[in-house]
Amino acid sequence: MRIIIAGAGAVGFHLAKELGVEGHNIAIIDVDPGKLEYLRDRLDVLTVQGTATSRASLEAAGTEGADLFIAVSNLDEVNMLACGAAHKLGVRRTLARVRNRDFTGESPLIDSLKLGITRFINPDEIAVDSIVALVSAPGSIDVGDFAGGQILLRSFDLEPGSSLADRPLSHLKEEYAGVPFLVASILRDGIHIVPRGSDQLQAGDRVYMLMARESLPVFRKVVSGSDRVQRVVIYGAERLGIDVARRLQGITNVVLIDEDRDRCHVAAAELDDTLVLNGSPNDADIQGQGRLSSADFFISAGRNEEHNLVLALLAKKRGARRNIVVTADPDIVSLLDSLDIDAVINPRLTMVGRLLRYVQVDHARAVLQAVQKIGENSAEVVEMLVRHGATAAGVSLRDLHLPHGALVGAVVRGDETFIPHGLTVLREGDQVVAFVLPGLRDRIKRLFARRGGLHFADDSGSAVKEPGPEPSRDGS
Amino acid sequence: MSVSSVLHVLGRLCLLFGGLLLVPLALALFESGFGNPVARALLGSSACSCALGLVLHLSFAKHVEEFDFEEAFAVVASAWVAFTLLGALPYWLSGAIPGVTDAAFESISGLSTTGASILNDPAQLGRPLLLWRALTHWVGGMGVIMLSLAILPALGAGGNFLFQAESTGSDSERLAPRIRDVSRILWLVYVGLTLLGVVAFALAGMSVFDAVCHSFATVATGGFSTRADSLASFAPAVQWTAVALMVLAGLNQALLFAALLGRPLQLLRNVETRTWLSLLALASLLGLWVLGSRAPELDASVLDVVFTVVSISSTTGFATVDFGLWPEPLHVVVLLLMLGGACGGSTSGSAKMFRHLLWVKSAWRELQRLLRPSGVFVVKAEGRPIAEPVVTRSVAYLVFYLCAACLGTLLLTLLGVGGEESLSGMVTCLSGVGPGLGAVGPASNFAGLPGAGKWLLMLAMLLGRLEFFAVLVLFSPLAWRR
Repeated sequence: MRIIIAGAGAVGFHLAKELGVEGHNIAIIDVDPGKLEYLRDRLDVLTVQGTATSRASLEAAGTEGADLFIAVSNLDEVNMLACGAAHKLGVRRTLARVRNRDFTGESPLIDSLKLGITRFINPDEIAVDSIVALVSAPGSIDVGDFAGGQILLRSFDLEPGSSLADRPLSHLKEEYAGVPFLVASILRDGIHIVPRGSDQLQAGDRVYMLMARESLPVFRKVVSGSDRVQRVVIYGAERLGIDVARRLQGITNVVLIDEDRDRCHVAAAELDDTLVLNGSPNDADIQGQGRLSSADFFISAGRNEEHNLVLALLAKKRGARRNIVVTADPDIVSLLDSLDIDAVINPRLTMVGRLLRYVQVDHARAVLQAVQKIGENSAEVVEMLVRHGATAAGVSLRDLHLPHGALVGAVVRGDETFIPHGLTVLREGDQVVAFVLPGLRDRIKRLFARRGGLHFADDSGSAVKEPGPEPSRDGS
Repeated sequence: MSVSSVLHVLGRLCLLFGGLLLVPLALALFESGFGNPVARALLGSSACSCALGLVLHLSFAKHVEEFDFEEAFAVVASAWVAFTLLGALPYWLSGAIPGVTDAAFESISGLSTTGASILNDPAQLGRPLLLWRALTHWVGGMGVIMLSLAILPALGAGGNFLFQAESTGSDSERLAPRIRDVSRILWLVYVGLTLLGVVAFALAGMSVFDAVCHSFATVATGGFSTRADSLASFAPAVQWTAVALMVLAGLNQALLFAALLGRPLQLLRNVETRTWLSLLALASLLGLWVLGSRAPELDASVLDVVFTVVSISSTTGFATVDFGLWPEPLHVVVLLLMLGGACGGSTSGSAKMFRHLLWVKSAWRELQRLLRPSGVFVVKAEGRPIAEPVVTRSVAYLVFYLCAACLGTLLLTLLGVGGEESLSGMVTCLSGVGPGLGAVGPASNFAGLPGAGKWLLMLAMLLGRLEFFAVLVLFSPLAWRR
């Protein structure tokens, strides 16, 4: 597929990299020759220097005849116009990164299709979604959303006395019939176990559960009890912090802290049910007023990267149970394991993940759609599309003879999401979310690919993510 | 402060006022020709106004570049004082009200839409002066400045300041880009309501003349009637009509306009509308309960209670019954309703609902601030943030009101007026209601007060109508600094 990317910033770069790995032909347009040079040195892409709204640049990038146009520069208006121009030049699908919520929210001010834009992608909304997903899943550390958010992976530590403990999974399955969920893996004493119906959960297990989105409230009730999210403290009255507060304020107590008085006023004017505090979250007085010590989450979303990191660490020292750092710096993700940080959200990379999903949902060349690593033992959740003529198509799961340590957790067929059982027959076009232990991914992948042909050029296994462009815990 | 500009504009307003006096003059001439002293008095008054206006207008030049807030406030304050005196001329020259004090009292009571009277029987004034009395209500309800904005050539940049200086209530959203169109829209609603009132009153059984006078007095939330016993001797149908019209007059006129344009939800969802209507219902129920349980012998009807509640709360001041005879708790309710007022953007006086809402919200905010000293709290109404100056200005209004009420009550009692009369008289005049309690209650009038007391209440009416700021601002040294 020929893809044009307008904008060679962080999003453009990572997008080009990921798509290039999948074998797409990429042309990238940017006004900044420096950025293009950086890109050329690292990626095998065509670079065009110029504005994405000029005929010369668009034609030089080969827009006529391209399959997809993605505008991800920093300017909403440029992105929208560039998509419109690309559409005029014959690109059928265009994606525009637009942050203005008047265009992307409910009852948008602009009819994107009329402008020739297939879809607006709002990085802020995506980042907010990821954070809210993290916060609204109690006790969970590793979280992933699959199949466009219809399948959720949530994990929790089973506490002694839980109603789920010491009972065969098959019993639980009967008890919660009608609530699609699946215990995909149990991490017990540092070892991942892919359970069978006769296995029992034990106190102290970390349980990974795949479920349909509508099962989340039930799951939350069963697991939580004492684990309800009571208080969320957010640092940074920036766009993202205010949006997260707005989404959470009806559900839980939300405190928003910022040093800047004017920003605080903007936030307080927008938020109805959030306590806005003016000061530093490092100040003992502010911590007291915000009840930081009883916070379930501390979310660092201020302007300054390093400051965010330090405040998140300090908040945890002061008693916050979990912390989330919002960052634009990809390197901070790599600190995740060495520092006491529970999650890192990189809005740009989250956005890349989302864009890739849009690219792949319709035009998947690779079978593999998303991979999420879980914990340090690298068990993985993979998302795959059942291809035409694949081994798995038209075969019941029982007859597919999946290797031990692999489990098909959920199937999305059209608008329907369900947890399959042994007699479920997969069809071409199904989206499948599977849980696999290390080393099994490639074997599984072959079952879903077209028989005989090696159409995926990426047997290296680094299909969608690796050196951590996308933080392993951020929900893509 | 450019005194010259102020006097120039004031002159123009006096000319307009002289024109207004022609309305009752026409009626007087139609009824009895020039032989009538009333007609001559009205002609003389009109001539005085016009002469004064011309002299001021021509002798002083307006410096547009110097027309600012302080000039606007000065124009408003001086215009209201001038109109009070000019409006008193017909009563005084015709001999219908012999004393200057009494004539001025009746005049400002009309213009400020208070409706407190010193007349034992208004009917003795004769129809032309009764019409003038009602007309002062009608003009004063909307504001003389508003009238001039609508019909006179543009006042230039000063128009906006004048509009803000005289208008009561919240800084309601501009209905139209130009201030002139805004005032025209508001006058359109006002005139429409008035016509509706005339037709409704006439259909309910009033004579056309009574219907016109009462419609003027109701739509302006004034309270002057053509009869000594106010609306008591009119049929229940008339009284119910008055209730409905008083409620309409107490609502925000901009929202009424929106409702007329087919957006009734905007009016019904408005927090101020809801608060006021709830208050009316609550006070009525409380009144019925107290009367039923404490004073069954009075045999008060639902109409009497609802009428009184709506009349006092909308600061109109009509009466169908002497609520002074009601049990004591209801006296307090009446006083509280006087302090309440109706909705911002209406012709009603007093504090109005939006200020009460802001007080409650900002007081609640202070409680929160005590608990969370670093918290940033924004007062909101209907989810929209209220600008901080609006909040503090409403608190300032409260301070001025309370100071004026306390000081005025003290001075009145020093002048030998009874306690109940002093307090209720002061509150009723500051709020523009009309009747008070005791000797100044609905069954009586303000004639028995000492002269100094009347002047004090006149000042209260002026302060209350202009919501303190337009007058008090002139006492600030900043207003006079060059």
